[in-house]
Amino acid sequence: MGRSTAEYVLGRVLAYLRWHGVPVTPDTTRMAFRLVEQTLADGEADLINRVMEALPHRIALPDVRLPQAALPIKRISLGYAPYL
Amino acid sequence: MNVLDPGRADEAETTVAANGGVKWRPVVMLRRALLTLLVLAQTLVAAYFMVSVLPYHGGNGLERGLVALFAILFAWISVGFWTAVFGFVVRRRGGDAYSLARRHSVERLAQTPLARTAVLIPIYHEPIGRTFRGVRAIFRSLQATGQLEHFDFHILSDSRDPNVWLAEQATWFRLCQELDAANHLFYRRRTVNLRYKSGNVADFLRRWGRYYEYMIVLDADSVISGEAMVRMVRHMQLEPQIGILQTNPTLINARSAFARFQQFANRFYGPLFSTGLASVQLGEAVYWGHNAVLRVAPFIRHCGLRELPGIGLFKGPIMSHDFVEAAYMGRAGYEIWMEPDLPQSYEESPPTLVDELTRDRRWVKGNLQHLWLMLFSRKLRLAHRLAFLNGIMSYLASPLWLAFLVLTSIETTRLVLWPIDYFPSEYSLFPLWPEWHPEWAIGLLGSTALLLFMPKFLAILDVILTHPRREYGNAGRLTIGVILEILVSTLLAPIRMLTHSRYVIGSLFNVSLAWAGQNRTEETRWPEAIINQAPGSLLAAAWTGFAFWLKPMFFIWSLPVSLPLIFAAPTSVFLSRVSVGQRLRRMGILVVPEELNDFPLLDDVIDERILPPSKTGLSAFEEAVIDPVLNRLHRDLARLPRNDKRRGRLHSLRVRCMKEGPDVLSRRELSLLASDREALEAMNRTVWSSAPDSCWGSRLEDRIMRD
Repeated sequence: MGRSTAEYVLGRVLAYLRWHGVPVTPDTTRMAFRLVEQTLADGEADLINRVMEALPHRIALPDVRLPQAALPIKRISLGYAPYL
Repeated sequence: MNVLDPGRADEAETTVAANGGVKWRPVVMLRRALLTLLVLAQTLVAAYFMVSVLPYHGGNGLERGLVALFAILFAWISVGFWTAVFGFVVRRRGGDAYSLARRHSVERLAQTPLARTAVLIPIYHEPIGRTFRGVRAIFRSLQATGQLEHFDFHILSDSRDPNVWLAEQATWFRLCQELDAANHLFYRRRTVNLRYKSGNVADFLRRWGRYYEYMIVLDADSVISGEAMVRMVRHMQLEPQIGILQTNPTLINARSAFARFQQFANRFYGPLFSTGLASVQLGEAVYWGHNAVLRVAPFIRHCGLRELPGIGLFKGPIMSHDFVEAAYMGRAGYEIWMEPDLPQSYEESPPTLVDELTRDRRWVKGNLQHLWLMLFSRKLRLAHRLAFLNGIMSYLASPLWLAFLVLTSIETTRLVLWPIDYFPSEYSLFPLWPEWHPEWAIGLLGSTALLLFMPKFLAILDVILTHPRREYGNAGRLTIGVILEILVSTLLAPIRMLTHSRYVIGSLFNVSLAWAGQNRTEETRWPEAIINQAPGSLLAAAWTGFAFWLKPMFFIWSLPVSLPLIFAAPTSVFLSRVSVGQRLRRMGILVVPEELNDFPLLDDVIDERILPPSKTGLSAFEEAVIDPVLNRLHRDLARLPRNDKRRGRLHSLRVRCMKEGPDVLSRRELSLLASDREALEAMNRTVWSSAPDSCWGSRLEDRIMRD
């Protein structure tokens, strides 16, 4: 038997949280359930999209700490001597 | 902070005096004069015997050509021979009294403050795991010295394939997290790849060079200890007249049989040659492009590389930049030192013959370009002009050897098939009787073989006298290793000769060539080997068949060259095998000291559990689109679209990618999408909202299931 859309959506929400470094505890699972449940209350149409749109507003995601890729640029020109 | 000060020759010379007045120039002149004298004298004697050996004693154009070619080739191997002898003598005397490494005590070095140093790792489609494990090992080694605060690592990527550079970015991110290296480990990818590696470094210097006093340039396969880097910088601090300090990297981490032979030869014979070379270069050495520290300010000021203004090969960007940069640094009054005694500097060998020859294709063209610079550049030091000549001869020797074989074949054919010419000279009153002195020919051959192989025996003697033999395994295994190495290098010499000859001719006619990274990991497959080697094998078979038909003795003389060429494909495949290399290692043959002793630096590089490749089954592009954190990273490194036209193009590409998947887009199209911040964000949003049975939805579900 195939999975229902709600099952897929719940799986996605939990995966999204996990990949953001949110530990999937019973509390976060409950929050995910509630998010899916409340969104489902407005109908099944476009459920995945609506849940994923609402997710960042309902569950706080930790900031991704990105390393600095480069120092601020301080330009200088290279010296090119003539060949001849 | 601006550390730039104009580097000036007069300042540099003043500093020499301030540093104890090490007067190395008269010494190096004397050594070079001695080397020149020995080579010339030996070559003249050999050429005299060659004239005597030839039937008409150089009495016709053909024989004069043979003698000329023989003299050039003999002089070339004589330079190698005497360099090794110089190295042996210097090492037996306990080292070079004029070497840089002996100038300062350990205490003085330890008290010398460091200065801000950039560690540059230019990469182009390199194996990502190996490259970043190397960076990790070097970083950790530097961290262990407690001096990390003075160093910044910059990974400078020229990679074009989005699946490669996205994986590089992701691995850099993981490494920054693991090492907590966010403020010392940077990543930059050029979107416009001008002028190869030197362009990449120049691009870095234009943007960030002003932050640094020194830069240590590494290759993707370089490994160097933190202690060595600290020591190199301290030497530079103590000797302000030095522009470049080059270490002599040792080959490590060889796995295939081919690489293990190269590694053994490098480790076993290398010290002799490098010590000899350093003794005749002293402060006028060359830069090999990696595993070296360079003074940034004079490099920026003096070492910009203009495109060559000539014609054909001699027009366009300089491909082999390192020798030229050393020559320019020398011209600006700075010294360039190569220090064989600076330890713990390593690199890797190409894993297969095919890889080595692929690399040589670039080097041939690059080195031949130096001819123009050698002849026409202004005010270069003679030593650096000779270094250019040395590099050119490294490859030009091959077509000269080939020409020598061709002329020898014509000479033999003439002797066998043509009637004897008693008057080879038009104005001769007396007949000239062709003479043949096989004993002189054997003597000549013997002396040539002596020049080629004597350095190897000197190396054995040096090892026996210097090290406990068990550093290379026991005496029996060491001897087997040397014999096998001689055999393999003899087998490879004709293959390299013919391939290099083809490259030289191709370069002179300016045939376009691809600039590709080395393989470094895979073995050579039979079809690849056959395609690569078939022309040489067929040519050799035809030549040796002709020799057999012509004269049995000539056939026998042809075999040392023709047999390796005929069997080039199996040789290439066999030597590329990792299993063969590892079997030899288990037998204790071709081992080097680093493999017999603890070597944590290398352990970190080869441990594939560190930074393992992604096992999600998705490409780096798919990961960049799906994984929300990686997507955020790539967005941070991407740029915004420059105008509405570009935005429109990206929109249509994105719609297509989301609808049909990434496989329908070209590499360039994927690269465009992955370089754009808005596109990355929109794709990530779309994927997470997509239906499970859609093209991207199913990928996402698979990825979730594997997690």
